[in-house]
Amino acid sequence: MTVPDPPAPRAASTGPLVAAFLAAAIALLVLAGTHVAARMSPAVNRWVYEVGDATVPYAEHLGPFAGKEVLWLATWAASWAFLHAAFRRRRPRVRRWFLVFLVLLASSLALVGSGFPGFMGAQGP
Amino acid sequence: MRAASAAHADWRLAYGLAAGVGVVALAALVTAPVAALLGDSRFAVPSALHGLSGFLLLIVSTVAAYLALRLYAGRLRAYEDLQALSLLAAFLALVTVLFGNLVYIYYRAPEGPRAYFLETEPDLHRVFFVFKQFAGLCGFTLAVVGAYGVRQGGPRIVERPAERQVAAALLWLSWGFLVIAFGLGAAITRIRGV
Repeated sequence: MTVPDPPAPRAASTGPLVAAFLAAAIALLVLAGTHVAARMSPAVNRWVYEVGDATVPYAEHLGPFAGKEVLWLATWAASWAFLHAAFRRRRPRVRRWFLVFLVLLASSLALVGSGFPGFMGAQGP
Repeated sequence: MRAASAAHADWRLAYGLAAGVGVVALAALVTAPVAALLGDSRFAVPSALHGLSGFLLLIVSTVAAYLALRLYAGRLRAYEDLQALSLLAAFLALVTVLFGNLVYIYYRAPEGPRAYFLETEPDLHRVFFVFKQFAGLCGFTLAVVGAYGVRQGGPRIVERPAERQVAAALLWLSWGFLVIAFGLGAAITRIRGV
């Protein structure tokens, strides 16, 4: 009687890794976007401040930065949960999605840098 | 047995590092005039802890970045060490960010460094400090994702080129942002301390 070979182990899903780094990039893009929007619009700045004030103890000492951190963390958690649920059983191409991640990261860096005097045509006050 | 232990992080290196740092910190506390060292600002202690955790983070994430280089090349033998160090780096980054938030309260106080920079050299705040904040949060985010990537891949991540290279790249990016944040923080503190 011959014993059949054990089945080959299934390749691990790459979905959770892709979900994790994409969620991080989305959260950083939101952080940078919030920073730029708050700098350009007093109304957005006020709203960001109120988000922080409503959720972070002693946020009045941190100013709008508390709201930016809350939005960054909330986006990170929500997008990670959503993308993990969407990708966990799939095998997306890791390198291809990593390029998307790099583009998002570079965009967030450009957004933060857009406020620097002399960078991308920005003028210092 | 080996396979079972490989599934969990080997914390011996982290414990050794923590014990070494603890001994040095204790010796410094016992022998040094701490009040003269820190100054009389009420933000001196959080500021010192922010700097200390940032310095420890720099050491840990540098070792993790070296191991990530071996992971990238597929020659990593010490998977457990990389797993432990990447987790420790993520934790230290969190601690540094939390103490950084406390220090930021003093930074933006009416008599704090922000007011001084805006009055004397506004670009120090608008460029260096804003970018330092972003780089610090970026480094923390990527440290968490890098540690997750290493842990999620398991010991056999070394056999999967795309995953191991991306996990290594995430740890390098995190290290790069943390170095930028640490350097800018040190420079800003040198100009106007807390």
